Amino acid sequence: MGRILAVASQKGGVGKTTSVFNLSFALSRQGVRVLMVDGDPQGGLSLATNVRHRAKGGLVDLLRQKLTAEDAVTLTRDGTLGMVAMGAAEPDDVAFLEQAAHGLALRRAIRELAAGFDYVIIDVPGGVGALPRGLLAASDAVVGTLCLRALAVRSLPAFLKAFQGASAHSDRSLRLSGLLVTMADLGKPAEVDLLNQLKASLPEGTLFDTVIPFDERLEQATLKSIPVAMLSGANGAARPFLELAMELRNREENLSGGSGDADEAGIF
Amino acid sequence: MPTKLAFSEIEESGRLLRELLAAPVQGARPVETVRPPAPPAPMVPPPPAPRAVAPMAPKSAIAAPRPPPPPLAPPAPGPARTPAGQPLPGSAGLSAVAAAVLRHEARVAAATLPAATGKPQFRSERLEQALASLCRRGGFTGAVLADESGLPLAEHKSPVGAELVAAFTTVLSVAAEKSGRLLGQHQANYMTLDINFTDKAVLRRFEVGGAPYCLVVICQQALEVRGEVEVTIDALARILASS
Repeated sequence: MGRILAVASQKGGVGKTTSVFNLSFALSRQGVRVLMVDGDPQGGLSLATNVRHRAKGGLVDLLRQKLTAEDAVTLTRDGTLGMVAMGAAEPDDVAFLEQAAHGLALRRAIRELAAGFDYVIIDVPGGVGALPRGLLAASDAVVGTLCLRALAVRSLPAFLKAFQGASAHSDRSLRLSGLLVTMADLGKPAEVDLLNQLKASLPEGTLFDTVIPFDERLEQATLKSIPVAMLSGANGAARPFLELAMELRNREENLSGGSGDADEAGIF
Repeated sequence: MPTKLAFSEIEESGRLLRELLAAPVQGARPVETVRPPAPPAPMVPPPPAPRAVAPMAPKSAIAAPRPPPPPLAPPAPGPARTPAGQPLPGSAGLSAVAAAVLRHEARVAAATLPAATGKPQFRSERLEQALASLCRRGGFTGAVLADESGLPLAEHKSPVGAELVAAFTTVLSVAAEKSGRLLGQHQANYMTLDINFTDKAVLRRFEVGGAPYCLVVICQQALEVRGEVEVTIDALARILASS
């Protein structure tokens, strides 16, 4: 069973869905089996991957036991990247999801989905309600995302408190993998200033070294429902996600005690 | 010239993160010194209530206290044995008390044994195994473990929704605490509720690392649950405290 990572933030619109999609693709290119789970009732990841027309259902259907975990997963042709859509997300379904998040059903479903994958990356909706907290509690580690805007940075304490709360109900020992700065425009002095303040004030190693810069090609790739690495001439935009994937794996190895000379170490 | 931004939230985030880093990983909190099942203290009259407090109900409104159970038989001499009756290695020649402690440890270990399919990875799986083991050993219908806010952490064959039972534990837990305080029994951690003519729900409050938890067992009214519950509390506390 793989590591379950939640990509989350208190504030919406900070690049969670884009990060999940491109990070998952980058990880899958490194030879690990990755499953993306759309945990946002808005279905952003399902739309971004354009999987909703091909999927038999989604997380809601799995929780309603209308679908098996196997049927809920849509795999890429090479089988290294899988996707679980949100499924139907009518108001009743959202209420049902929150109820499931409050109890044990959601974490059981995520656990069931994680079988056969090395990483499960969950796109967690913004906010600190029952559903985000339930998804955090079902995870092993959290990647917090924030952009260098005043409101995003100022919502960071609320996110950290939600993380603390979810940690108390965590199925496994929930850890903070790190905080990822996204949509950064380091040509703007205000953003550079904020980044420097964050680096100075937060404990060392909290922020990922990799910063995802703002790049219009990410939006172009999303329009085509592909990761940016598959967009022609977008190598520059894809590289930060490849670096992030490597950094994340290093951090995960450190958090889980490292692979050392275990059987899975090495390239073969 | 751009205005230098300074947000107190950044400092607050730094402080929160330092707290998170300094705190032991969730689940590795220090274990509560789980109280061994003590013989119930004799009912003492409650201390005189302050005048501001509403007077207690007349005695007739309170169920007569049950006679205390007979004292536990002294542990048999000889080597400690596992629940299956196998002698524990190295226990020969120990005092009766040491042998009893070893027996208790063996029962706790038996209550936390992993499934035959392998060691479960998830804390909730281990908790559910402990509850399954409790119900199997005690012949109970089902059990639910909840935290102080009424969120279910694990359940085993709960006859009604685990979420419902867990939410109900907060009500019972507060009632148990208040009743104990009013009666001068500050260690009152049990509450038994007859839920119909044949079944009862037994609530046991306990703490791990300062955080309160509630275990609810649903079983036939005739069954005695305390012994198995106390063993299971030890097992649950270990799981809750382990990473």
